[in-house]
Amino acid sequence: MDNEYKWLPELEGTVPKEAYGYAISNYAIAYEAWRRGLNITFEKVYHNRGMFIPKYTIYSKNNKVQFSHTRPHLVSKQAIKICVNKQLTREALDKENIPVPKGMLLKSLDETYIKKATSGLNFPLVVKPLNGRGGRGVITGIDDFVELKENIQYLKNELNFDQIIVEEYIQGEDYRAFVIGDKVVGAFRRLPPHVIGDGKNSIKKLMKSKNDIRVKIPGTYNMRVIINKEIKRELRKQNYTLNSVPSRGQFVRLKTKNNVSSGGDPIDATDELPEEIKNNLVKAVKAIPGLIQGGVDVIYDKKTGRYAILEINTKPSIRNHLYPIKGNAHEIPKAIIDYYFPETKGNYLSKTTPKYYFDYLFVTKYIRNNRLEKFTLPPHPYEPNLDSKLISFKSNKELTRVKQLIRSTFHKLKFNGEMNLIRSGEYELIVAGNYQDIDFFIDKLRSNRLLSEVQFYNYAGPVRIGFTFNNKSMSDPLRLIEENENLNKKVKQLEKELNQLKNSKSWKITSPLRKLKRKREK
Amino acid sequence: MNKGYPYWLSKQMLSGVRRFDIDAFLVALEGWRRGLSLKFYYDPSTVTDLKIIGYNQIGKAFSLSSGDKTHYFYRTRGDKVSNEATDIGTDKARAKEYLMKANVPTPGGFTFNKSMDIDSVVNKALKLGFPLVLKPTLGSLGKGVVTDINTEKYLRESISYCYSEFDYEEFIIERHVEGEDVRVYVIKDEVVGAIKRTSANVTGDGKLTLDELIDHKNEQRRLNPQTSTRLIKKDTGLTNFLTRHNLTLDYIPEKGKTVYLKGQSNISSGGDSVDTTDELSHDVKKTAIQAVKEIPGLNHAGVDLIVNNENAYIIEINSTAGISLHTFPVHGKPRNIAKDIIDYYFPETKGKGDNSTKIYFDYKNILELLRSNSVKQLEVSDAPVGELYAKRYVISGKVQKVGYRRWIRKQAIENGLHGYTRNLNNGKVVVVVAAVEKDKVNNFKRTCYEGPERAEVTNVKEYLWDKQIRVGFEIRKQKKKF
Repeated sequence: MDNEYKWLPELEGTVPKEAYGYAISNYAIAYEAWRRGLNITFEKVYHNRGMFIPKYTIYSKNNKVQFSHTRPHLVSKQAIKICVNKQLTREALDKENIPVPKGMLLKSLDETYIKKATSGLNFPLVVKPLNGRGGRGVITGIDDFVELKENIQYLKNELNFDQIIVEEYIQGEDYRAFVIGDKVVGAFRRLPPHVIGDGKNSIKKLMKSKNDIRVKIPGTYNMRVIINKEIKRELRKQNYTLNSVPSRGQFVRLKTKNNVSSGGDPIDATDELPEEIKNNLVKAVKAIPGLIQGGVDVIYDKKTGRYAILEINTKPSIRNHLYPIKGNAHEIPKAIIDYYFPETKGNYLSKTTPKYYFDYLFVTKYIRNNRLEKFTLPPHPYEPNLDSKLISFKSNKELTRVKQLIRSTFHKLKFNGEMNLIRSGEYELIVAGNYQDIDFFIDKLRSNRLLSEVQFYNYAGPVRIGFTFNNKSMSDPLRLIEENENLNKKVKQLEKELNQLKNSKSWKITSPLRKLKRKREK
Repeated sequence: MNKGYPYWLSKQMLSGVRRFDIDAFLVALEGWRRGLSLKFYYDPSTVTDLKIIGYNQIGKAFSLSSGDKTHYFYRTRGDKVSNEATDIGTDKARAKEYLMKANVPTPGGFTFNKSMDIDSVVNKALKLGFPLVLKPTLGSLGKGVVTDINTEKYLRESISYCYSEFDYEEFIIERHVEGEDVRVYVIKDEVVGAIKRTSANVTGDGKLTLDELIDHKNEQRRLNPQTSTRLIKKDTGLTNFLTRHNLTLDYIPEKGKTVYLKGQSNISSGGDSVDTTDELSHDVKKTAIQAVKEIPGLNHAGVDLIVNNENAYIIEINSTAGISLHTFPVHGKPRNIAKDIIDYYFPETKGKGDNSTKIYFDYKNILELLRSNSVKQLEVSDAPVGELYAKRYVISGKVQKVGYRRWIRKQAIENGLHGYTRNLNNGKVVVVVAAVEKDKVNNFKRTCYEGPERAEVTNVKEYLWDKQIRVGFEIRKQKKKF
């Protein structure tokens, strides 16, 4: 799977770990705006499916847009109401002759009513809750009326949904497109959670190695596919267990749901969708009064060319467009800011290196904990004669004194960057600022009696704005602990081998000999 | 000696907050506790023309607002003090002119600058008569102040000492007035606090040397947030003073004998503070009030006086006066000057913060954010207004590694509760929640029993909690076992 993808260069090294996962959507949008000199204020969080998502306002002197995750306040309440309700969405799209699955909202869950209402639909069918989220309660592949009845009962009794939709199942693959204005900016195809056999490893092992990759990708950061009943059931259906070793190239499905958050894989598919579908995706967003932008779910069968739009999300995550597992990332944040702040199109404050970025810890540490109500980011630095250096030096003076010296100079010369304590007495600085100021700064460091061995190198990596101090020498004890743990592991391994040896036949057979030896020694 | 903190503050609230940051914090905290919304600014010039003075300015500029009304503050000085008044206050010579014009008593003296011939300065000074005081016109914190000048030789030495040791250009020489050194805080027509200051001193026990006694005294000073960073320094000023009194650091004073160590009675240079608000005479108070009135646009300030029986002389007026010396006097009753300042700016909120003694915001972290230039401006979450009621719940069962704390945080924040949660080493989880409404806190016990899907709660024990509460609700790290 190595390097089958191309992600956005501007997000390389500029997304702090705290912003990984769900938060990447709003970080990437705010970051795009910030690079163009727009102001950004983050505000209190709201809860969405257990996730904390902050609201943030992007503004210039004459323009102001408030975002809730990826949705601007300009999207009307009416549009949100229609999109939340899958039946209203279907009706709005159908009116504009945009293909949707044939189906309806059940007005009653009475058997005779269901029979009559669904009589015009062709099996296989799908049932789903009217206001469901994240694929919860969506049941596909219903082949007859008995199954339909059972599944409706299941949704009603087990999952407590009473507003249920029945519709025809559309054969094809599952796509999500991001539409803004007149454009489909990006689309990805969702593969259900799966592993691909290599003829050597068990499904369990394959899942583990897949998870190891997954948790490192910023978009799916720390989102492991966890072995649960659903996966076991799905494997059983395919006559597998977790210990089965699928043959090389064998596609083993783990879940029926395709959501990336439950383990699906996003694959860039922007070029896979034909123009006609794209036109209809744009039309679909326009068919909802007051919508402007949205994430449109569409099922499309490449072989037959058939497709249908399932739903529109007003607040779609864009992280899968930014971090597909295969294919190219698409510039959704750019399209969003271009749309709402057209006057800033192409006006980046810094086109040269280093790339500045901002921290996100203030959200996780302060705003999420309700310690701060609002947080306005410092503006993106503007410096036409920008230079950036990595400087190393040594000093025997107390840390606080050295830190104070560096911090105050950073402040005076309006530098951005960081100071790292490598190990006791050894420091490293990353500095970005005016090139003359940096020369002056290096001279000053070299002539300072408290410091020695001042050396500098060119630096083109990302620079976090502000001044950060990192104590990297702190990781030394951690390294020791790690080494200790490794040693312990080795000891356990040896003990295990020893036990195996003791229990082995040859050991048991030779036992009388050892007794004899011991006696002789006595 | 006062140990500990006045009832409306605690050590935790001020942890990591030092010197002038304390003054800013006290005013901001008082306003915020009354329900005013509080914002801090990295660069206040983007929102207000309020004059910013001094070193280390970051983090001391903030605004308080209710509805449409906003007031900006720098440390203790708000926008009801005009910038002109601030300028006059920092220039001792100009302040003196204003006071003399209005016949407010000040010690006789004159201004001179480095370019002037020393001989003519000395001649002019001799006309005033000894003892004399020498100080820079723009100085603060007792820096460059020489007192107790009694001979021409010492006068010449002092002038050349000030020329060589400090960057100041302009100085004042004035008649040293005998008496007690008192700092008074005036708001409009009222003296809201008065502190008597003694110069740095130690009291002997017949065994320890001055050197050791100073170390002991400094240990005590470290416990008081106001004096902890203002220790008695064994500097040249101190040794010179001792030499002039024929003393050395090796000297062992007899038991009960107080030895003064410095001429100037400034807390910054190691002096003691004693609250004397109730003892100060009516006339002295009137003089202080008049002094503030004579500086146009000043309205509230700290006034330094020398009090000699019923007579008071104004030494200096400070428009950005510290209030922590009133809040944390070494001896006597602590005064909440911040309360009087907020009363003056937001009279409609009077009394609203009286029962708020437990809630605080983490100023230390805010300072860090501002100092590292990683925020332009920020707003602190609103404080619950009124007397806090808090409980500490200890939850047992299968409550760790099941997302219990994250779930609890969500519930707490949604219910408007403040506090924290933490895993205990014995497998239990502790939850501290506080609110003004008792019901909310008591009902949260049920929420603790409920827990997230994966948790199995077997028991919830409750305890009353009467310690401070930081605004917001956070997940705290488990304490290490060793």
